[in-house]
Amino acid sequence: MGLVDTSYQPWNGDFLGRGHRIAALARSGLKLAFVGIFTRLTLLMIYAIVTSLIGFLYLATSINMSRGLSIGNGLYSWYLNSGPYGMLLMLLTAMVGSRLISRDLKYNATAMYFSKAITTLDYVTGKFSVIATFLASATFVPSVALWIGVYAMGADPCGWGERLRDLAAIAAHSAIIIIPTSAIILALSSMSRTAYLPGVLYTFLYLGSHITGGILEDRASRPWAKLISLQNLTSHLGNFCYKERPGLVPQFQIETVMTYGWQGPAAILAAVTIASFAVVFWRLRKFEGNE
Amino acid sequence: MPALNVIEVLNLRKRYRGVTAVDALTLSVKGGAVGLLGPNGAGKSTLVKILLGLVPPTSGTASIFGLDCRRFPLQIRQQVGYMPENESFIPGLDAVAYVALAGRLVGMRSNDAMQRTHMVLNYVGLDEQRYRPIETYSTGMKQKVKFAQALVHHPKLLLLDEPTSGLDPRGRTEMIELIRDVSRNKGIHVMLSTHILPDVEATCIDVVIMDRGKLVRQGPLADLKGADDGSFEVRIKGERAAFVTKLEAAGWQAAPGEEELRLTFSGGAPDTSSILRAAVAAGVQVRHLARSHSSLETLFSQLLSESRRGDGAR
Repeated sequence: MGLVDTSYQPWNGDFLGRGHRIAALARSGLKLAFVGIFTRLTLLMIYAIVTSLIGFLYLATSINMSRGLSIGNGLYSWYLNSGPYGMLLMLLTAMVGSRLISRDLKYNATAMYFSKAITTLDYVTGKFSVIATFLASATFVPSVALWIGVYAMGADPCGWGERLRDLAAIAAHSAIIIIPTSAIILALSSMSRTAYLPGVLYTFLYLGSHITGGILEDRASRPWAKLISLQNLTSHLGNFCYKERPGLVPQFQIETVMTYGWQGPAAILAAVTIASFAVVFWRLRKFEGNE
Repeated sequence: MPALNVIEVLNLRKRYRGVTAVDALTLSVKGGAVGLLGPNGAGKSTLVKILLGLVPPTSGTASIFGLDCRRFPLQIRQQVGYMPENESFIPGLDAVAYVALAGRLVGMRSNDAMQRTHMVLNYVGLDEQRYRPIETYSTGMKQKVKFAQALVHHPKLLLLDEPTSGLDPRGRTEMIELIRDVSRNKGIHVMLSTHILPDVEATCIDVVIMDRGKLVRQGPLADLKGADDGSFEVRIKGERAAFVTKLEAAGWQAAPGEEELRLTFSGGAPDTSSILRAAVAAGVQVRHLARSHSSLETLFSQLLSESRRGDGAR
């Protein structure tokens, strides 16, 4: 056995900084996030939608080659706010985010994490990076692919200034989706030791808030009811990121979600995000410093 | 400059919602292998958490290698390896990925962490199984992985919480051998928190005994076991009653055991030759005569009951 193994040598190397340790935590989480077959399939479907859109652009520009096609920048908002895409993103969030903290609690991995040189803040940052990076691969990356596709096909003739502004708008819109979503699923994940339960709760929360908001608005004429839907809030705020440049395709326009300005919905989304982080830290308090 | 104590605790108190887990604890540990003993609720786990900087003390100070546990928790955790009592793993990760992650979380470079991972997994005796997900391991293998993740960065101090818990006799022997080897040959100080007394006897040189948050006794195990009341144990062949009568006449008190007699001298320094004279006088043959050493178990029970009697009297 190992006891007669004389190859054990002391180690006297230098320790790297905090950022490296957080990155190590995030990298390990990301590897596990991409493991599930359903996760990969869902991600594949998201990329299939983008590929289809780029294919459509190719056809549209080929047909309209003589006249020229101006698609405008509503396409990005339309893509990120569309119902089917939202559903796929909801599924991805539920599948990947659900296990992030709950699994560590169930299998007591927190005992290992918190006996190493990381703080609760480092741990939460690492976990947030995992879900945020994953969601970025499903929001920002395909949107950028779309952006490249639009300009590569010459589907939206405009200057570089406008193009880069569109890219920044895509990044901001993606961040508006990613940050609150990641915070909410982390909070739910920290509240359970069962791997799937936070995902189920998130799905109910996402769909429930949207359906309830829709019913209240339609049947009871309560315009504020739309504000309780996470999807409406992110779509509405996301639309403010773009400086609208209408195109010739009527479907790809920036669609008005609510009649409110950006301040109210932004405050709600910020409050939800802060509350979610507060829940995560409160749930993890016993591992460092407060119990 | 005097050498720093490995662990230094001064008047440490920790209260949880009205319950005192650690009460005015003062101790210093010079190093080597130390057993932290105590019944459930003695405050051992709380002390370990305070030492790791995971729990702030209500009052008092604790330091490891001169670093204050409250002010420098991260630096301390880079010098300390901790093996938790309960199962601890990440499902989906194999032992290599898990131990390497533990190394990187301390701050090791990726290639250093991977190199050390294979070294410590070899050392603990985990061969090809290291590439299987940890959730498929037996309890013994999981314990070895926990030991390996604590050792990966070659800490100066290992804090081991019930390392032999749930192991079969073979696994227990292997784990004890590892702890002994690490503390004696690898230059790593070990603090073994357990309530399994034979594990401490097998691995530790010093012990710290706690009960209800307080220090009951601290010192070298040999001294504690030897620090008895100057009693002797004697085995004889012949009539025991006559021998006891002669001994009592010589000032000895004899407590009969199953095979031997335990002798305590009632006044002054014991004169062992008087035992032999009593044997000659009683016509019995002395087969064994030695200073009586309490087992750790006896000592432990004795110290705990003394401590509780003392508390009751107060």
